Amino acid sequence: MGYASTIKVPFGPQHPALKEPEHFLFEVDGDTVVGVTPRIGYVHRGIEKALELSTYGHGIYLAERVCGICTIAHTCCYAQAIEELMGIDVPPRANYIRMIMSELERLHSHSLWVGLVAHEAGFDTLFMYAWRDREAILNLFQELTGGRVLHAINTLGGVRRDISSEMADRIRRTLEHFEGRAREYLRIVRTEPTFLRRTRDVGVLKPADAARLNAVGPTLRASGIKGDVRRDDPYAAYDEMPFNVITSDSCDVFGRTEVRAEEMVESIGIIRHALEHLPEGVFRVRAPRNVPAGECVSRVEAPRGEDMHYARSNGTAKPDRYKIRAPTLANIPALCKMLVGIHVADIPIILAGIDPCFSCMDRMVFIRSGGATGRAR
Amino acid sequence: MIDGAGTVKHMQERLGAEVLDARAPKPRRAFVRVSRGAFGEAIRHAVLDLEFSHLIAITAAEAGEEMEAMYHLACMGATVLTLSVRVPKGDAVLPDISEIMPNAAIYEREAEEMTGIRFEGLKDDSNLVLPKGWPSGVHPLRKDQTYEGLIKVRLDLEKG
Repeated sequence: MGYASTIKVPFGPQHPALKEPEHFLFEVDGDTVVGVTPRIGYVHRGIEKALELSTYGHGIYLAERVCGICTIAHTCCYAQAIEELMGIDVPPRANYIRMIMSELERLHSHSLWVGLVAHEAGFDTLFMYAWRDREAILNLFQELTGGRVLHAINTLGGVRRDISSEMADRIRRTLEHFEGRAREYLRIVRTEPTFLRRTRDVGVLKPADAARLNAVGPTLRASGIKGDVRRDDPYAAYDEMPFNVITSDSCDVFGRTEVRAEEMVESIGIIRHALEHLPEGVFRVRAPRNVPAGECVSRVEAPRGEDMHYARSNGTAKPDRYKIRAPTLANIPALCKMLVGIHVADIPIILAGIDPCFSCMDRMVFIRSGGATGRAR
Repeated sequence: MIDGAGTVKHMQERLGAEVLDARAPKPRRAFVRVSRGAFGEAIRHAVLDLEFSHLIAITAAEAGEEMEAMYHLACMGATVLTLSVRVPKGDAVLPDISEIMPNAAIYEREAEEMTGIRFEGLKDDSNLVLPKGWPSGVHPLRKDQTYEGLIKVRLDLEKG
């Protein structure tokens, strides 16, 4: 048992198991991981600096581009922060539309993830079904906003597009179909023996460690801790929504899958309730150009967990400092804990287990292109 | 669960004149700035006594001639306390708080690279986000760093 010395195995930044570039240096003893050192920053794009150099109106487009999957979460968080500094109240209808869009985003993000984890578990049939079904949500986005990936729905003072009663019916019809699919994923992940054997007791994160290392989102909830910004620190109109915060006590990749699959069903319930109670009235108010000096902390529950933005204004048309902390960064210490003591073959599925989004996590390095013009690539 | 106003009150009671600025603009938000000398006691009090045990992030920023580090801490996931401390630019050093907040190191390393505040006691101070070989002393989020200047640093780095 045990080798005379350990060896170091680099993993990434280019690796078949990683969908985005990131580097982990694993120290292994035989087939057991005994240490891990993460190195992030491969997709830093200078967004925080760019936000300081941009007007508040321009900033929302930058916030939109922090991440391609949780774009609504970031714009929602940005808009909330700047609206608070501006001292403007968003119309109730806009808050409901923001919430509907956020939950649709959770549906597409979670189904994308269920597909990915199934793929890492060698269950490509589920991967293909999940991604096929996700198309229905992307098509809805296209009809609602004009964009499948970036939606430009949130703006300072409300939302850019309304949801008509015809569109509301279309959302309801899509959800009726999608709910059946989400329940089917739930049934499959709970009963498929191969999937269970591949995910049970893999990537264990005990509740005490999840709390101590400040994990967020489904990673935290799959360790049995009921933490959800929508419930704990409600924004938009989440305090008017009936929904359950889903947790699982299994503390492993199976638990993370179960939590996300059940959350899809909860999201469908939230969207239905919001459509039913969508307030009448305007969906946007005019936002001023300049923002009085101040500071604020804005939080939303992105599909991967708590997203926080901090803004400090100085009375001009541009922020003095803008900070973004995406959920994947918060989950890195917990991820490193999960990765120690495991078998090397489990690395990909554990990495996928936190639903990493490295683009979100990295924001600030400068990539060259366009020669002297220095335009972002 | 403690609210924003309650947090401000507790911090003022414990630290007295060491609290330089404190306000609770919303029920679940508190902003408290303490003197450099009282920072250690302030963060211990917030984390260990008031149960602000969730460190969301550390924001580092310039504040005129000083550097400011803001620790965003959440209590039971709800109330967010932003505990801040300022240090002069010439002596921008703060203690590492990994001992009471095991996840602090990644935020401290990011802040150190981006703004130049040094966190004393960090076990690993290698670059976490900036590229390998990035010149020490060039901190992208400092106000004197322009976008164009940073792109030049990056281009020079690629040229080797």
